[in-house]
Amino acid sequence: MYKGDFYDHKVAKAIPVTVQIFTESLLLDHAREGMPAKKLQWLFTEITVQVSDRNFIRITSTGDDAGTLEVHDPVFVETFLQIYRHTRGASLHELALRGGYKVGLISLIIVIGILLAGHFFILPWCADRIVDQLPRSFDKKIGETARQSMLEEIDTAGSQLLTKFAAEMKWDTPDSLVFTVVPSNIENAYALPGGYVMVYTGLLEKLKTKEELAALLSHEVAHVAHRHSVRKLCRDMSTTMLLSVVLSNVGDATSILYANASSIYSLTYSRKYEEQADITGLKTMRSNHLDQQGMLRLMQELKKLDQKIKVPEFISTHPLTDNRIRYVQQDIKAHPASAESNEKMDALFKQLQQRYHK
Amino acid sequence: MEQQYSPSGTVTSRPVLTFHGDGGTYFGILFLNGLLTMITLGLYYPWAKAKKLQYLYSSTEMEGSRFAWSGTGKEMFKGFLKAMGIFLALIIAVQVLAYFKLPLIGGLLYLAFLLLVVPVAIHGASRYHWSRTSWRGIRFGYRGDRNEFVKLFIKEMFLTLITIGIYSSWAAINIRNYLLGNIRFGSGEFRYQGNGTDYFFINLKGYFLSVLTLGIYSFWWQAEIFSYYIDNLRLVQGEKTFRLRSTATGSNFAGLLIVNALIFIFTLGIGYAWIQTRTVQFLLSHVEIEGDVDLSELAQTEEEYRNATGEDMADMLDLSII
Repeated sequence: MYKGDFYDHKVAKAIPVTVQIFTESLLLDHAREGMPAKKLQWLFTEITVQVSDRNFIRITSTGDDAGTLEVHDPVFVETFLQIYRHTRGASLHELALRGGYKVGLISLIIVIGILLAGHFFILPWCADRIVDQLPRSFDKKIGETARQSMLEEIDTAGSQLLTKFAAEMKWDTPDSLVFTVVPSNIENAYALPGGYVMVYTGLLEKLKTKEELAALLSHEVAHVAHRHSVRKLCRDMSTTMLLSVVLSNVGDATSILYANASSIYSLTYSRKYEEQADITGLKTMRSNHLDQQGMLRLMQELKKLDQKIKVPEFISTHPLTDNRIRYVQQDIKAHPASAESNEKMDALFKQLQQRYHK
Repeated sequence: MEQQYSPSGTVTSRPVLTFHGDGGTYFGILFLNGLLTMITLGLYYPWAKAKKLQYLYSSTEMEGSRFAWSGTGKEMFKGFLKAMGIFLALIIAVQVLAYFKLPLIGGLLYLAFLLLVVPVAIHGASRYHWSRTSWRGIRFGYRGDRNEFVKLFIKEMFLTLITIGIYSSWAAINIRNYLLGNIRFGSGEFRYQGNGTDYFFINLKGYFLSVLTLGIYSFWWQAEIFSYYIDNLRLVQGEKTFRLRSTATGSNFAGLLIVNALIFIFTLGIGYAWIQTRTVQFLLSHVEIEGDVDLSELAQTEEEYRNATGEDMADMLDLSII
């Protein structure tokens, strides 16, 4: 027996009733002074139920004795719903109403889990499959566009020498390669998708042997062969798409936060890519019968540059040089190969050296 | 409920409005709604809205009984389809006219539609919304006449337009008088007696003092507007009347709004559910009702109205009426 209020839909008068729960129905009983008690039987098939929270429930009958019953009693709410749900099934919404913030919190955690899985595993995998489907000509177009927009000065004579030097090597990539020397103090080199390899004179003048230069080119060409830039582009784009779907109505603050977090994370993509380029570069060196130690010396050269600016590994794009030296050494040990001399490359490297060494 | 006998022999009572909703549960509802709406690409929206309103209404109590919202997702979804149909028909008509090189007529049709659709949407939304609101099984209702309201609305908009907005205070109050004055609470009738001139001066004073005090006065301005809305509202049943009065002061509003802003900023918007429940709680607890109406004598007079087209049109136009 539970106590509740009954409303007859005719006047706004609260009529106190006692309620009994049966397996298929409710029995409402209201005692009237000096008269026999009036009983109402509501079948579960003729009622609609509104749960407000765990303490309050409203049951409306659409049958012959139309009316509304309201009960403020957590025990009633629970008992009634257990029996009623048996015939109706529970809903997620009801769970949210009765579980309060806990349900919200748990579903929030589940959704965040799905999003994280999506970001770290599913989307990168999908992006990679998409890149595999894209024709190589796509890389070329992107590379061309990027090159035109960067407007770098070109050292034509130096570029010719570098192209001749590279032509002495066999490259394991379907892309047609274009080698360019850019006059600048920056000690760096980079590769654009589609096979555009750019080397700054600042780095060129630091190199002491032809093997170092060959290692540098092998590393950059490996980026092109593995289509790293296009892969990164696709991953970033898929992340942005996922985000705009999810956060479209959460507010700008969150998405800005996320965009920054994402850029830090995409640096580690780059580090993985760098390692892959180093290892593939070594393979290219071996197949060209060049001394693999050239890669090591290149790393040591880079280490000297690194020491000028200390960057913690956490935000650095390249794996820290010590780290790189370690796995390069391991790879050389694992794949010993003989080196042959190549006079033509020696000569070309000398010409380059004369041109840039001060 | 406090009761006392006034000298004339009638019973004076002071029913109290309380809000039982808590931010946590409300957050759960909003979150689930958002999730399902996202998964269904927006189709869940009418059901989400029904669940939200059900919770907010059922958490509001007067004299020991809670309000009820009986609108359903299905009704609102049908309304949504009809409203979509109307908008689509308009777009097609404008396109066809443009195709036949009659873009001017298309443009005029578009303007006429916009001028008509807003009052029609407000009217439909009021009818649906109030009909689906009840207390102790007694339905509210809106008795306004559509044509009359459209005429009033167009007239007020026209006057606002030709006075470059100065008339807007009078327009707002005239429209409010009409909308609120036609609300029924069973056999009880709401009356709103606002006056455009008073409202104009409240806004004029509020505006200048807010500028002079670098915005600080805006809380007091807000409190004055709120009390102007509440104090002019009455519920009349036969000879009996309930008067409403706001007890919220500017400093109360400052407390509410500043804390709301802080919650919003520090939770990156996730605290929105708590902001809403706090606000509803604040508003309801600052309304004082006093008079001799016997609530238990309110009788069922309003019919059910299940057409939610106006409600959905109002949503699409982003009008917030209630």
